[in-house]
Amino acid sequence: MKAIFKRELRAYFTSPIGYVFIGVFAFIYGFYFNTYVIEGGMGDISNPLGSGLLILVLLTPVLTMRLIAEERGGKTDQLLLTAPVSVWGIVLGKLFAAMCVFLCAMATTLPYLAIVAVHGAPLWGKILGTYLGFFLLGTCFISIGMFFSSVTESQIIALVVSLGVLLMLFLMANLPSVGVGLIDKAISLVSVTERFEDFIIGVLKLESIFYYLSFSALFVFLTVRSVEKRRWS
Amino acid sequence: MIEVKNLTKRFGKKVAVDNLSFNVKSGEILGFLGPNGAGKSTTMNIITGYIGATDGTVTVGGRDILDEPYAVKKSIGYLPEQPPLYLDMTVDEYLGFVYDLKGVKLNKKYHLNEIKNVVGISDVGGRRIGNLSKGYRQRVGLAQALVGGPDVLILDEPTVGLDPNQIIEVRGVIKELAKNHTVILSSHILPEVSAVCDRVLIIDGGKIVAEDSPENLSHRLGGSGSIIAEIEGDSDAVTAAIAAVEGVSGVELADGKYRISAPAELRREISLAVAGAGGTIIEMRADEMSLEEVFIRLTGSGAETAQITDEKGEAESESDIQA
Repeated sequence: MKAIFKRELRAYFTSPIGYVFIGVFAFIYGFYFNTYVIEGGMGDISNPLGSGLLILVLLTPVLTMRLIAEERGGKTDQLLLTAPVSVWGIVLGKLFAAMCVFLCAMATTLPYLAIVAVHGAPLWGKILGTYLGFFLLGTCFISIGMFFSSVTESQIIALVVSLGVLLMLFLMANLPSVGVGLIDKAISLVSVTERFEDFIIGVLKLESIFYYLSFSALFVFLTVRSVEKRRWS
Repeated sequence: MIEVKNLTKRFGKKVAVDNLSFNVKSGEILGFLGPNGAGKSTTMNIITGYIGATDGTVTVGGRDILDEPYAVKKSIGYLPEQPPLYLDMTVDEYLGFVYDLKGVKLNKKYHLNEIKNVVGISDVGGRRIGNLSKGYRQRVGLAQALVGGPDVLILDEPTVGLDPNQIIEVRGVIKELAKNHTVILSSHILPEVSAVCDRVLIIDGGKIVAEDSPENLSHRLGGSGSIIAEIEGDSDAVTAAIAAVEGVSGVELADGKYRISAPAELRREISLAVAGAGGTIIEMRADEMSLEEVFIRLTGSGAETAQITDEKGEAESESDIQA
């Protein structure tokens, strides 16, 4: 797993993908920060990160599209699958590498924290909650994207499908109630971004943390199954 | 060393490997020969654990690939048809990654340098694999298979797409490696198999159609034997003289060449008879079937129906067939 993780992380930074992801994220986040905090005069840094959700929806597929599709396209999966490592090890190594790049992107927001800390009175609990929620949500998105990368050889298809799915999940949070209890319940169950609202207002629910972790775990599991299935069909 | 029993693999309704059984002894070089889509790559992919079999068992060194996958995978070095290379890495980075991936315990620097020397890539260690020529990439692929010092090497068409010089070089490397490895090698290039392998399995349509040493195969399928001779002189007299030799069952003259149905041992007698009839022998040779003819005879009729273009990339291009 360690070898996979190292190679994957390296690959993000020898190709433009890691830089593009971090760069675009930092640029748009900076723009939000300027709008909300500098121009808007609000000392609350949770707002720009909260608005950053859409960036996350649009950018995560770029980060995950190549994870497994590229191995299959380039036939390098033959090396990984004939090496004495488990499929779990391969998939988790890749997940952690993508999470690392994601953390790097989040780290670009730290200077803004310093600005707010110097010039305002930040609510640290709220900020911590937002960052944790953002990270958990990002992990969720990454595992979803990784799953769609594992079902195709084409990175473009992986990109488009995971973008569509994430966008759908994102928009679901704003769906008006249908009125049928069961459907509403189902929608709220899969609307991943809805739970993020709790984190933004600084409410740490164990339930929400568990929700995100299990959601990610489910897609990691599905990715492993999808890789395994190809070997047996 | 390697024992394959009743191996079957179906892709949907297509049977890629059909109840295949064979053994490979320790230290042996076994050649897989067969037309495109005969099931060579599929069989190799199953032995190495890349894909699962529909039915049947494979044991390597007495261990079943399903019961002890990690132990078996550690003992096998695999060079797939398309070398699994990360083009954005340098050769050294790549081999380092493979070393870590396989969890090798040997001294890293020494081990990798040794491998690079064996396959002849010491001078390109710092170059990006994407910038290397096909021959070098193939060698890096071979180096990858050697990392960790596996006992068994499985090489899928190791010389495909190389130029003639490179083919000879890579073949030399394989021969060298075969001294202390058990090797399974697939090819549709016949001289390669006869040059390198101890034993040949000819596979067609997922089944073994012949299995023997390269010499025996051409001998056995060569029939009762015939002699080809180019002779100057009066054709009627020469024909009559040859036909009179004891043991000759027939003489034909076609395109200026005599085709004599007789065992090769009669060449001396035939030569004397021809000289007696006033003829001069320009050329005379025993007409043993080449491995190529054996191959065509064994697989020719089934070759069309056996084309299985599965997703593992069995479809090699026509231009790769060189004999």
